[in-house]
Amino acid sequence: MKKINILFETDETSDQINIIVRASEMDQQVSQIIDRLNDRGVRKFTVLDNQKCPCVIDESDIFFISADGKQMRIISLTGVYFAKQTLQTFEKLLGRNFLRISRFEIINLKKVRKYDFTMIGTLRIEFENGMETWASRRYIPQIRERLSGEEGYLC
Amino acid sequence: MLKKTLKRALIGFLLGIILGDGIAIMTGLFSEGNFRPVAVTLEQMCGNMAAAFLIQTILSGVYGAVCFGSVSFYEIESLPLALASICHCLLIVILYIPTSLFLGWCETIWDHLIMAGIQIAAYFMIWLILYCSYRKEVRKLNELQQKIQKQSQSSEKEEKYHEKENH
Repeated sequence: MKKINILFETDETSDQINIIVRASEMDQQVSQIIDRLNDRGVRKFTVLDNQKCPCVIDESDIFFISADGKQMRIISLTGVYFAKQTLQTFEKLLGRNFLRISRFEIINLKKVRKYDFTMIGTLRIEFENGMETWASRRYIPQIRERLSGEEGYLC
Repeated sequence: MLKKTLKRALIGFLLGIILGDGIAIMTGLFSEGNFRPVAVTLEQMCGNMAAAFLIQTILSGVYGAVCFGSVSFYEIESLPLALASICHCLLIVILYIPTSLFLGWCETIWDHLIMAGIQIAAYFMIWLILYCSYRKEVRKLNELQQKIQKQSQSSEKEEKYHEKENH
């Protein structure tokens, strides 16, 4: 853990509060600090398991969410769950490490093991749990921007 | 997407006319005898050179419109790159053969088939270039992904070390 220095500077010309986090690299500690500043801790979701019993899962355990008929199927570290919310709702609630890769799927970029471009021209995404999904080649620039932090931090 | 396709088709129509007439005029200048921007067979079919040239112009425009308009295949999200290339290529080649036969662009059937073969080879090259370009992009994605995984692994190790120290 790196040492944190907190400084306050008065700037009479500024009409808003600017918070700048300065570090040598964007690591877990920096991401957590930014999350706390955004009042965004590890988010938890109430979902249904296979027996339709409610349970709580961590956002960080989610691999991907896919539309399964009228409900959402959530593949998590602890199992498969279901939810009634739409993908659009999840998009607003989930952190920036989640990216929508099609009309039917949102993936957790932090849970991806590797990417592969197939001969027929689709992007194959393999997760840490061995599961895989496919995305259109059009999402390659978006994924690169998120991973490199060009759009902002990857929390 | 329909608006985009129609816009592309319109641009293609104009480009088809410009290229078609341009090539026709260039070949006409170098033809034996008098200036002949259309094939003899077409001129005989139409009765006079002006009508033949007009028909050639229109068909060149239509061919250009289809070539450019069908670029929209690449924008269909559910269509992989290879399939989009195949659909585009097939459409162009299938349209080229009857157009070329009717306008007399080539003399024998073998010439038409050779031209079609050249078009298919060109499409294969285009697909190969695009495929290599995307593979390079995906290699960069994997490098970034590994970097992030290493960072999170080293942060987790640090956290566990500090937790042990606190206990």
